[in-house]
Amino acid sequence: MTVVSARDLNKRFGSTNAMHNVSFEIEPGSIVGLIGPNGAGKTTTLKAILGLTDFEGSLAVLGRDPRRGRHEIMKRVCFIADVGVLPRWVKISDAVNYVEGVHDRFNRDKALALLAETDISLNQRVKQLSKGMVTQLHLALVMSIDVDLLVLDEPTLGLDILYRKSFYELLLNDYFDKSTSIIISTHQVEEIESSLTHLLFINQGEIVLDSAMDALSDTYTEVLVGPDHLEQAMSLNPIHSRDVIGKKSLIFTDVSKASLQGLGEVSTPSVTNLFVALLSRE
Amino acid sequence: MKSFLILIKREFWEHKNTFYPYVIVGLLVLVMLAIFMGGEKATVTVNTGDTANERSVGFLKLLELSAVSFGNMSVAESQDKLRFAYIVIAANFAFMLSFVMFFYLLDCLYRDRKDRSILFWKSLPVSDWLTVGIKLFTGLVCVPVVYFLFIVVTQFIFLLGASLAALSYDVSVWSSLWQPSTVVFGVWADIWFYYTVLLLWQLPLYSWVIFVSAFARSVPFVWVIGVPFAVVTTESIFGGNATSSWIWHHVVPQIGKMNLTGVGDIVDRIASLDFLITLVVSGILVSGAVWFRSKADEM
Repeated sequence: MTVVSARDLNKRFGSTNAMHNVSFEIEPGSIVGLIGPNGAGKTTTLKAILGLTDFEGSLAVLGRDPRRGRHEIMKRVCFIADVGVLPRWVKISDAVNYVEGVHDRFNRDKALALLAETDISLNQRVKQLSKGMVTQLHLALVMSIDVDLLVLDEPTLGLDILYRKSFYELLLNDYFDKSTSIIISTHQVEEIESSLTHLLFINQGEIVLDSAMDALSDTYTEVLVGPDHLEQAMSLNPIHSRDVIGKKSLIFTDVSKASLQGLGEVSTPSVTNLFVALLSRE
Repeated sequence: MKSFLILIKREFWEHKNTFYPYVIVGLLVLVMLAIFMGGEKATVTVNTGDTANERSVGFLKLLELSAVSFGNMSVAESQDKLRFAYIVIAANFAFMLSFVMFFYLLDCLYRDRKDRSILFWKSLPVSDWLTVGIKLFTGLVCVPVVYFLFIVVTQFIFLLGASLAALSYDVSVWSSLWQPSTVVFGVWADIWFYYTVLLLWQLPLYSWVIFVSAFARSVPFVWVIGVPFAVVTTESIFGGNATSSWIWHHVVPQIGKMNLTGVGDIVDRIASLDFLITLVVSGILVSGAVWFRSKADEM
């Protein structure tokens, strides 16, 4: 069954479009990167999936409308927002007890084992933990719940590189399997780029790219062109160009790789470069 | 059931700073009564249900009395004095409890929106109805039970203190203090009887408070006081007083005026149009709280 199926989602905050005809689908076992600049509508889209915000349009999460049975959906969906949503007053042991009490699919032993690998002590309170440790705690709780969809909204915002790295290592190596889907919004695309199976670019509330990662190379090509072939390359209408020490890096869409081969070094653009290319075209 | 208990525990973890400081205030008030009223005669008004009786008492005085005179008093007299002491202890905590319930209910659906932890709570499979229901149950039942336990413990400490004081005199502690103390069971029954009546009468008040807690985006205290104040003021400008007196009736304890003598009177009152309105208003406000909770997001 399709995990998330969104059709023409719309939401406005005053005169800004948080979501404008947003449509996409998430299939089981995929890791979807939801990438967009600040204020693009990432958080609104994720909150719509979680039943945390109202919107217009049709949305099914595991076959249910999140605007009604949020609590039913939450039996099979987990959510980590940026650090700071865990209540500061709660004791770590109580946080574990609470999740165990309200969630049938929570595995206490697993959570305790995950916590034992960190510097977090069960007697501490959340307010005594550093930002990085709060995220570790949240991840330990969430990874111990057997769910079908994990929603991550900028989960590593404000963390140093060591915590970010271990967060994704733990998540993608130990947790992810084909029965779970993950949708993640982040600024630090490079860190997860290689793990993503799907990409969603969102800008000003609109989806500007919806593609499987391995389909990117069919559509988009990046060529590093020297001055000699520049004119010829420009005639093929690149969607974006940027200067790279004496050469130009051009990104083409729907131009066959064969016809670009002679112009320079051909590759598939990185997510970051593609993101810049697609958004600056707007 | 497991989740029911953990949800209530959660309320106590989060709000222990709301629940317990008042207990300490209550104890301090009792200690002050005991120290500063010792030897002096102070007038305390006690509601005994039908009429307000005025009596004179000092707490240390009472201990002294218990030691010296209880031995010489008739059983009825000692029972009367002890009963009064137990009521003062209970009334003191009951007074504190009304503040605790008010501020807890006002805070319970507001604080987690303010500190963003609502994003965590709502990411777990707990329905909005259950969330609001648990908070009402905690505020209207669990917290009063806790306060009742404080009352019982304090009454027991009082009895122990009086017994220690009596030991140095040549009186029988058992027959002058412990035996007549069986009046305390009557006091406990009264506490729950009047609490139940008050609760039913004040349901619209508490429903309004939890509604504001779910709905206010800032300054809930201003909303909770301000709206009824605005309604009453507007009404009085137009010369009316029906809503005002209804609000007043359901905010201020009216037990003295209810002429209640037993459960039968409560049944009579429940089978009235006024009570039906009370239930409808409360139901609308609580449903409103659930609706706002379901739409609620971080602020």
